[in-house]
Amino acid sequence: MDGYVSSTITKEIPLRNGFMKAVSDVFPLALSVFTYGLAFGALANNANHFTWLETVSMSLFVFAGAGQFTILSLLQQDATLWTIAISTFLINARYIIYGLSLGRDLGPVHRRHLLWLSYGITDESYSVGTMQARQGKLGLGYMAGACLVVLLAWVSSAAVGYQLGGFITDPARFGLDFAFTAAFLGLLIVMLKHRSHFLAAGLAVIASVAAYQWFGTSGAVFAGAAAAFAVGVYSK
Amino acid sequence: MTSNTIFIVICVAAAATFLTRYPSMALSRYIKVSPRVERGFHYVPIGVFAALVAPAIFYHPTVDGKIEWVYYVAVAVSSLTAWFAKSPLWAMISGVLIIALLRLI
Repeated sequence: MDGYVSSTITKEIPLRNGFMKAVSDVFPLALSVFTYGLAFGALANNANHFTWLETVSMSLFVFAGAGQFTILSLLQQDATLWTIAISTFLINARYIIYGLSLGRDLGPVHRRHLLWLSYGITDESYSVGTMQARQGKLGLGYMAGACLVVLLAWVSSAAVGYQLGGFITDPARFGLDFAFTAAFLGLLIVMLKHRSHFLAAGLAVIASVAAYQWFGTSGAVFAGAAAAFAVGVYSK
Repeated sequence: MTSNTIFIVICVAAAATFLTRYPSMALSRYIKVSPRVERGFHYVPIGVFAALVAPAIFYHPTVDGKIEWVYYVAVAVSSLTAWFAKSPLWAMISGVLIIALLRLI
């Protein structure tokens, strides 16, 4: 099995060790989340005239980057509640893939823990979680640590971004617009170890670039995941 | 828009997002799959990361109608850093520093 590593969960990993490992692993991604969150907070203040409490509440309860930006835009256009609900679901539909993938690796974790862990599933926590699963070391502590760090980065940055308001008019000036792309580029490249991985990545790039034009980020993620999944199924 | 309306929107959006997160995670453990399909799932992260990155690079907007070449330099620097340092953190730091410096120049 070229490049395949079993993701058997190791129950013996102490919660605290897993938690601390997650904190250090997810830290670079949390930095990019923070910059993104600053922009959300500033936008909620400047463009939508949210109160500070509304801004922080949205980041805390919805906890979905692209989804929240979309909601701000829809509110400006006086969209109906149904439109907002359906759009939010579609924008965040990639979490269905993340849930299916991570849920298998978190097999022995109790269902009541899954309930709150699933709330913390984001691009970033999924990224580090799945890397850990490949080493057979994914556990409750690790996933909780990853989710919590990303949540704290997201909510605190929205709170700070709201206060800074007009000061962050051009994040691109500091290269912050590139942080998200660079972090995921790094994660992708670190994962490429075998020929079949490169093939999966290549096909995912083609599929996602084609799908993005019509279906946006979630469509691109579904197409990329499907292409890589097919390579995995047919690789030896 | 009243504060009440915004809080209703927040609740609805939170519920819609939760529906994408929990059911698939809870159901995944009850779905039995063959080893081939299981292997396919282990390739999904590669596809997801590629899909999060590729459109951002491919559809990066032009500046005043011109290709922003510094962006692509930063992509190259980040990629090389990730390859040699095997670290997403250094990939991010190097990319952000390069693009900020080049834009300054």
